Amino acid sequence: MAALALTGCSDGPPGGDGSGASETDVGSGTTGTSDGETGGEESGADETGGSTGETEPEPETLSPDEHLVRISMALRGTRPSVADLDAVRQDPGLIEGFVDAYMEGPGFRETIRDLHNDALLTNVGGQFPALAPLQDVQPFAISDSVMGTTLRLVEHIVAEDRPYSEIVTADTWVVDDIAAAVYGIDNGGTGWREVPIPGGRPAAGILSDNAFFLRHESANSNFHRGRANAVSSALLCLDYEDNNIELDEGIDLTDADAVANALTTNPACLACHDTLDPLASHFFAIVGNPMSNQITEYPIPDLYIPQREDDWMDSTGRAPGFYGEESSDIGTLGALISTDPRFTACAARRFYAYFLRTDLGDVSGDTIDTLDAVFIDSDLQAKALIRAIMLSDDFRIAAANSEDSADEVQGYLRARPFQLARTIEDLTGFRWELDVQLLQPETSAGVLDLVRSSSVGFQVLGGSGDSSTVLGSIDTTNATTSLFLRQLAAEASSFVVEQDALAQEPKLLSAGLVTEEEAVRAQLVVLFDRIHGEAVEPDSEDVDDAVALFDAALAASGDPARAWKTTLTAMLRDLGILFY
Amino acid sequence: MISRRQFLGSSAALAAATLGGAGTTRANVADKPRKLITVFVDGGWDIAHSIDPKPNLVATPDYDEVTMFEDIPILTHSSRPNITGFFEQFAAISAVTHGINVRSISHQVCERKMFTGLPSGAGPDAGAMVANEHARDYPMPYFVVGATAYTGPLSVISGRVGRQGQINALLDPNDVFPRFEQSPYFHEGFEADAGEESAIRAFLDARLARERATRGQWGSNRARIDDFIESMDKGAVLRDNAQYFGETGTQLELSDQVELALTALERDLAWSVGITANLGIDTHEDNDQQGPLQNALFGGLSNLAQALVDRDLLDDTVVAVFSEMSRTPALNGNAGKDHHPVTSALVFGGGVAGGAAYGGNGDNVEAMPVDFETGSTDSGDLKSLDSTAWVAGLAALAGADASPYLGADPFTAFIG
Repeated sequence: MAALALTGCSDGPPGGDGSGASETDVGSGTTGTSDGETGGEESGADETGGSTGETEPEPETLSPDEHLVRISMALRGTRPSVADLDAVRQDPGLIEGFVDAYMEGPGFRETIRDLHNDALLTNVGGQFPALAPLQDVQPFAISDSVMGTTLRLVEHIVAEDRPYSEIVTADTWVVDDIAAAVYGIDNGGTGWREVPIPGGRPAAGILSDNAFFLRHESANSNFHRGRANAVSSALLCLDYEDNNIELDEGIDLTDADAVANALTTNPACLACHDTLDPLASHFFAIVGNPMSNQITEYPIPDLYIPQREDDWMDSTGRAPGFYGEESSDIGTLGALISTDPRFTACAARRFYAYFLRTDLGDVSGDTIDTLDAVFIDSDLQAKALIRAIMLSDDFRIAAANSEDSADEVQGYLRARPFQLARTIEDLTGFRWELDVQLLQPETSAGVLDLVRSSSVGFQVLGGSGDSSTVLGSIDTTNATTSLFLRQLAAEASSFVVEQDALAQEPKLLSAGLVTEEEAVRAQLVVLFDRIHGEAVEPDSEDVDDAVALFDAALAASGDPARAWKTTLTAMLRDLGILFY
Repeated sequence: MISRRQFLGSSAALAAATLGGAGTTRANVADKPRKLITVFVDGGWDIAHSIDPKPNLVATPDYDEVTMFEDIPILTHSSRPNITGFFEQFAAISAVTHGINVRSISHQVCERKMFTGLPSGAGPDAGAMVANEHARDYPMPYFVVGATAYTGPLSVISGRVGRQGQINALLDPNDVFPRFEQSPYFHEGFEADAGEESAIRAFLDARLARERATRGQWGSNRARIDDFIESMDKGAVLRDNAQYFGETGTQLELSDQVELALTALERDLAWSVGITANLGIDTHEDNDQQGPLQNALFGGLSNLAQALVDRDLLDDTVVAVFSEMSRTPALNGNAGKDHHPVTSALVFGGGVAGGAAYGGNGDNVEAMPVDFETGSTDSGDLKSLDSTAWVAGLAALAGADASPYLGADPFTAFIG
């Protein structure tokens, strides 16, 4: 993959419609001169070198309104408003301002949680029973709250423009009422709010948070090495699990003492354990995940037991340390991670891979370096890092310009189920929910979000993982994702047509259940813009095809509402809904 | 049968005793295309409890004897009758492969390797490879009934049933999740009839054709569009067969998964099926739990094998039973066993050079080099059997070529 080129500073062509000339006025030089030079230097060399005539043609890039759709979907999971689209069609230079605007609000917050869940994997179900004072709460809701605290802390730090390093240094937790009840926190707040870390544990951001270590346990006999690797992998992009283990036949594996000795003396073992074990020694005070039947009351006992901090002495015998530097507890560990160059580089790599829907291993070193510099120059503002990605040439790629390079050029980015849920709700007002009592009458009341649930709902069938047994998301379509989109579209279309028929301010059908062709065409023009970000003419092929669909449906049923449900179902099942 | 006393020798003796077909030259890929069912024993099984008897080790579980079923030695005990029962009935069509070197003790990484042969998990697993080669045009070539599967670039051919069979809520209009009138999102519902669905497809197809002619001419973009179209087609066929996918809201135990798998294979809805045993077999504490858990596993495998016989699917189907790793030779301080990077696996069904064990694990459960064609650990072209060769071999056993995805020579000793 080519190195990242940052729009606005590159010598390269700005985009398919030649609109880039004005891309300097909005915003305030977020990408920085030096980064732009890096990007420009590389793209310039490719494009203008010209001595051999063998250079690949640059990929086609998105038009400004297509670019805005991609930015909006990536940042907040919703389509841009028609007004926003019209604005950038008039002045593409406004895009940078929209990037900043879209990084405010709940959609962006959910995106930040999803992004970090790829690394932290804490969005999983737990085993928390409905006990007083939560006896009327569904267990899944308790688990969602308890396991949600880690991602909520990261979300707060990013959304509130605090230095990203706080994710490993913050002295707060983020809890809602349910998590507060589980942990016995009574600060009088409401909603997801920051509270001082209770008890005596050191301040270390997510490393002080229970959810991360509830998710990443370590077998007792493994002395928290699993946790150490989870920390290293998530925060430094250094995964010990990538290393092959070759058994040394000279070690008697039936002799526990011989094995323990080998971990500190055998060169093959030391390659990992010399740094992994001191990292693991930070986590002895963090107890394991309580089983559901072990929880008899809320609040539960503190899951951090300071008296166990030195238990490493009786196990590995390796004092806490961080790649050769002395450390003492999770507080010092968090501080050391926050200043390690790998921490910011790893963030740059992860953010880019997430937004470009590519594998971590496919992010080039040059791209990481470029983004890392942006990140550091901004004093670790995650929004600055994201802004650089959104405005990069890579993020604007639409298609290859030749067949030779087409396999490497990814012009469609796949929406994840939570993004589809946000899109559908924004467009139609519909949320696909289930009252769990209808399935399980013996349980307490609770409403489950079917799109975001993996255990009962469609998160996995829709193409995402469950952070536990199914890791990663698919980047294309298969039979079950197609079926999921089909049903979601039908449900949402049914809802919005029924609602809009009665509403004073319709969500989609502003002209109502019209049937006269001119009115139908006019409404379809608006729908194409709103749903797909496409400015089409009333006599375009797209509108012609939609009219044909509407007419066929109306002729079959004689029911305008049903005809509009049919038409909207089709528009919401379109390729452009699943990909952006 | 032989007694344990007769058996108490070195592991090398085991390998030497089980050289089914030594010296035989086998083609790299089986001639006959076969359906593939993978049964993933998630958590890391203790092979010493069943298919890799090592009664001279300190942490051997309770046993009555090491029993030879054909040429497969199995550790047996009266408390694990299903293990005995399975091999009594199906040893002739079963083969055990020892000495698979996963080179990791991480659940995640080992799982990826045992499924795909690669640590990244970015490639397709054997089920996906086989389905793609033999039945790309099936409605759901690779049917993922259990939790775990890796499809990589072949995602389009896969489909999932969901942890609680929620695919049914997408297939059957009468099985959708109930809408509740108190909800602010309540609506009457909409199900397109055949005519409306045809009109919807015509609209979508026209849009897709235009997209193909512009952004989707080549490469990755073209593939996304083609996958989208293919998925709609396959989804439509699946909806026509909704009655074969069980019911929503059912927690899918092993027996439920087997029934779904066989129905899908029988009706040509799928070619490969991925099942996950869900036994909770990661016994870091109290390793004796392995006994009843593996007894349950082999009970399920017997039912699966018998059902294949009853439905006349056995000769057309290969079943692979594997875990991501095995467990240490010794007990830990909690009477459990930890993760171990060398393991064994079981295959049975059509085309298997059965009644034999291939390869070998040493006394420390270290992988012994093996000849990939004969399974001998004594002679021939002795090489380390890693997960890449295992996965390539599994695909080859089902008549599929893994070389587009894996560079390794396949392990082919178990191909009959």
